[in-house]
Amino acid sequence: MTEPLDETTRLDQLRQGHEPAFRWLVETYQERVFRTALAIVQTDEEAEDVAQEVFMEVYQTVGRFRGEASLATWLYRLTTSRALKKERDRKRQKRFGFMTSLFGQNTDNDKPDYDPPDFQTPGTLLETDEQIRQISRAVASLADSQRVAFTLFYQEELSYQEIADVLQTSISAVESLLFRARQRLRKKLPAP
Amino acid sequence: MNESTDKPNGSDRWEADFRQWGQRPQPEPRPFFYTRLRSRLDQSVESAVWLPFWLRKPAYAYAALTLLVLLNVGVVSGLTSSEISTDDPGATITAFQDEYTIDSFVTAYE
Repeated sequence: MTEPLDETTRLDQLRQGHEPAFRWLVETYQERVFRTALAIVQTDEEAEDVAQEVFMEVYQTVGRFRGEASLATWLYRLTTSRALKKERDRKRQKRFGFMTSLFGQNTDNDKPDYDPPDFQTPGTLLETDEQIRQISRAVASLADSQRVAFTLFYQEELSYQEIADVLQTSISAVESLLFRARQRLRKKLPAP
Repeated sequence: MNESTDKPNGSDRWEADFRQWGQRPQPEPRPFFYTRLRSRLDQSVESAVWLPFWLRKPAYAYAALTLLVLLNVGVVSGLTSSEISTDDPGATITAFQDEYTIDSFVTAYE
């Protein structure tokens, strides 16, 4: 029961620009933030970039954080929204690269005009099991909200209520997202 | 009807696979993450200090840009209207006569 009080104290310290409190926040949550970002973006560099942006935003805007949600919920919300934005930007650049390749413009000879589909993230490199690799590939093809809900449920082991808080939606909407994600994955993957 | 997904056993196996995916080995952030973050934060603060306070907020920056564009449009339209008003053929001839000291009453056969 001391956890909420402790978090309130930490939040007060963060609002006052207390450096050790910020260090505690980063060291406590950096792995969760990085892992969640990496489930959405393609490379560990992008995931680290997202994680840094999240903690910078926390540092700069904690004064406006009213504490209606828990710190973890707020961090997951920032992480998923920033990671999705980065992924959308990457896809847009990929499309733009494809368009410029059609017009024969190549600004960088060392790199391809657009990124080839790459699912060999550091996460998947560590995965020896082909089945897990297949699931990762299928999860990457899910719609944004389904992918976030699926990742938060199975990877971060958040409850329906916690996922609903992160996505700022209802529990029934989360159930629906997860149901559709599972259905889609079952269609995409070979039967176990 | 797909029996493999309807049977509880099948569902359980899917669920077990998804949970196994969730517990897969995951990489961690590179060491000294906090140091890199701190350095980036300090850089962002330094770059922000160089800007005047009214340019650090997007609304003020957009307002300043709009004002600049409006001023430019005003200047250009002002110049154009003054050029139109001076575009008088009589004034040009008078200026030419003044420059070459030509008397307009002197005829060519005089």
